[in-house]
Amino acid sequence: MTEKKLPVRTLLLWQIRVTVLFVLLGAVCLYFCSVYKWFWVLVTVITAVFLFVILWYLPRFIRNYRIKLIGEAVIIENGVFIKTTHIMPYSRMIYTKFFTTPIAKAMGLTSISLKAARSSIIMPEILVSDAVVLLKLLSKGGEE
Amino acid sequence: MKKVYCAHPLMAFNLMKPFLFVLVLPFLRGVLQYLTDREVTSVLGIELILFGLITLIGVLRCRAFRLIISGNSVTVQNGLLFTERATIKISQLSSVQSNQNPLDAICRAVTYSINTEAGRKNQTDFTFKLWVKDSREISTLLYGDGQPKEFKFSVLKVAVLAATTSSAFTGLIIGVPIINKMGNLLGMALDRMLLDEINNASNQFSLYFPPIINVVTIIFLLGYSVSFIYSFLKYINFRLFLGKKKLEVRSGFFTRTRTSFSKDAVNDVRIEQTALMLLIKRYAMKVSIGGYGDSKSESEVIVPSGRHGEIKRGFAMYFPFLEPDGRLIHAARSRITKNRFLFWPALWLIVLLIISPVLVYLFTDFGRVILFVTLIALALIFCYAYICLVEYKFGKIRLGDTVFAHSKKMMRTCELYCPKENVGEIKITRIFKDFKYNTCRVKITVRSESADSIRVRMLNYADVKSEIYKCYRIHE
Repeated sequence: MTEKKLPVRTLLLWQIRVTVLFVLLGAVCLYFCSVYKWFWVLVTVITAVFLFVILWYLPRFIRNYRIKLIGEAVIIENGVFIKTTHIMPYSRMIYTKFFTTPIAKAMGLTSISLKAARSSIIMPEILVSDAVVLLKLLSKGGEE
Repeated sequence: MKKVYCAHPLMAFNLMKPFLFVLVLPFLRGVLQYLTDREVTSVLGIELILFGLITLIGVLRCRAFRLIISGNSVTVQNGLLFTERATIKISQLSSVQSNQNPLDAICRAVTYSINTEAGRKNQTDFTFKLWVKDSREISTLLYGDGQPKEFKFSVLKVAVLAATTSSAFTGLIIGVPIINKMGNLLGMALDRMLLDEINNASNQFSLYFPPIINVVTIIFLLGYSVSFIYSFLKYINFRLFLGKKKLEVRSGFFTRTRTSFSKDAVNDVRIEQTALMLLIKRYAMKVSIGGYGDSKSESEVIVPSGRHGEIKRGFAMYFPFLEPDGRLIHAARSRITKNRFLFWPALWLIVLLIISPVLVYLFTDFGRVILFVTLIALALIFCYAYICLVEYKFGKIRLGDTVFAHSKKMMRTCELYCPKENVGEIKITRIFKDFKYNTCRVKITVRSESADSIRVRMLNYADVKSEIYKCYRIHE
C-alpha cells in the first residue's frame, strides 16, 4: 500500500487564494461602509471567517487529506467536520486529468482529477513530481 | 514512439466564442450614455480593443493545444494560463468521431471528438479542430492500420431507414425554429404565409371530416417530410468499414461524419424493426457504444436496412464473438399465453369502444372529429396487437457468454445481443397471474450511459432463475 499526504505548499497556495478572495470582498465592503454603517458588521464577520479558515480550518483539512493506493483501488480520505472516504477501483478509472493555475504552476503544484463513468474525484494540488509518480502508480494499479 | 499534433487555426474561432459576450458590455454602456447624456463616445474604440484581446486569447489558446499519442495513451493538453492535461489509455476510449462541415472542407479541417465512458452525460469528453491529414493519421495510430473492408449501402436502403424512422413530431421540432429564424432574417411573416397556404390547400379537399382534420393532417405530413429529408441527408453516402478490431461508419452530405470505434467498446448490438419496417419486412442493425457523442442516445447505425437473413449474415461477420449461446427460453406456446399477450390491446380496445360513443353523445358538435380520432386510435391499437403477437411468436432469451433477448419495445421489435459482463441489471418481475402460471417478465438493462433495456414477458420463472444462476455462477 502507498500512502500520500498533501505538501505544505498546498496549504500556502490555498491560504493565498483565500486571502485574495478576502481582500476583494473586504474592499467591496469597505467601499460601502462609508454609505451604510451596518456594513462594518459584515466586515467583522468576514474577517472572523477569514481568520478561522486561514488559521484553523485549512491546516486541518490539508493535514487530514490522505491518498492511499491499495491493491484494487485508490482511496481518498478527507474532511474536518464531515469525514468522507472515496473509493475508486482502478478497473473503473477511465482517465486522469491534471489542472494547473498560474500561482500553482509557479509553486510547482498541480491538481489531479480521476475520471470514471458517471463519477470523478478531484484532488487538491500536489507537487508535480509526486503527480507524475502517482500517475505511474495508478497506471500500474497501485503497485510500486 | 511519440507523436504530437497541433490544432487547426479554425479552432481559434471556437475558443473565442465563450468570450464574445464581453462585446455586449461597451454597447450597453453606449446605450446608457445615450439615454443620460444624449451622446455616445468611444464605443467603437473599446469594441475594437476588446475584440482584439478576444482574438489574441483565442489564437494563443489554439496554439497552446496539443494532442500527444505515445505508447498506449493519448494526452490532450490545452489552456494558456489555466492548463489542463488529460491522459487516457487507448484501451479506455469508446469512440472517436470526426465531423466536417462545408467550411471545414474548404479549410481542410475536421472537428474531432474523443469519447470515453467518463465525463458529463450526453457530452463528448474532448472536441477540437485538426487538419484532415492529422485526423486520419491519429485514427490509424489509435485503431491500427490495415485495409478495412468497405461495405456500401444503396440510396434506397438509406431512404428506407429514413422513411421508417422519421416522425412528424421530430420534423416539427426541426422545422418550426428554421421557419421562425428564416422569417426573422428575411423580415417576413413566413409562418403566417405557410399557415395560409395550408389553409388554402386543406379547403381543396371536401371530405366527410371537418377542415381542421385536413389542416392537422397536412401539418403532420409536412413535419414527416422535414424529418425524412433530415434523416436522409444525415445517412446518405452511408458506408461501413470493417477492420480487424475496429469499425468505422461514414455518412452525411453537407456535414460528413466519420465514427470509429473498437469492437471491444461496443456495449450491445440491436437488430430493430419499427412498425413501418414490419410492413415491408425490413430490419436495421445498431450498436450502442459507451459515452458516445453529444447525441441523446449512444446508438450508431451499422446497417441501415435489409432483410432478416441479410442482417444476420452481417451480424455474424461484424461481431462473431457475440453469437448467442446458452439455453433458449421462450413463452409457452398455448392459447392462454397468447391471450395474455393480447390483454393490453384488448383492454385499450374496450376502453376506446366505450369512451368514443360517450364523447359523441356529450359533444354532439364534434362528432366527426371524435370519429376521426377513434379511427386513428383503432389503427394504432391493431398495430399494437400485431406487435404483441410478434412478441408472443418470437419473444425469447438466451443467457450465456452473450446475453440475447428478442422482444418488443413500444411499437418496435428488438433483438439485443450483449456480452454478459456488460449487463448492468437483470430484473425479474411477477404480478397477478404470473403466480398462477409460474411465469415472470425479465428486464435486461445494459450497463451504459443511457442504458438500453429490453423486457421479455411470460417466461417460465424456474427456468429463468436457474439459467441466470448458471450464467453468473451464483450459488444459493
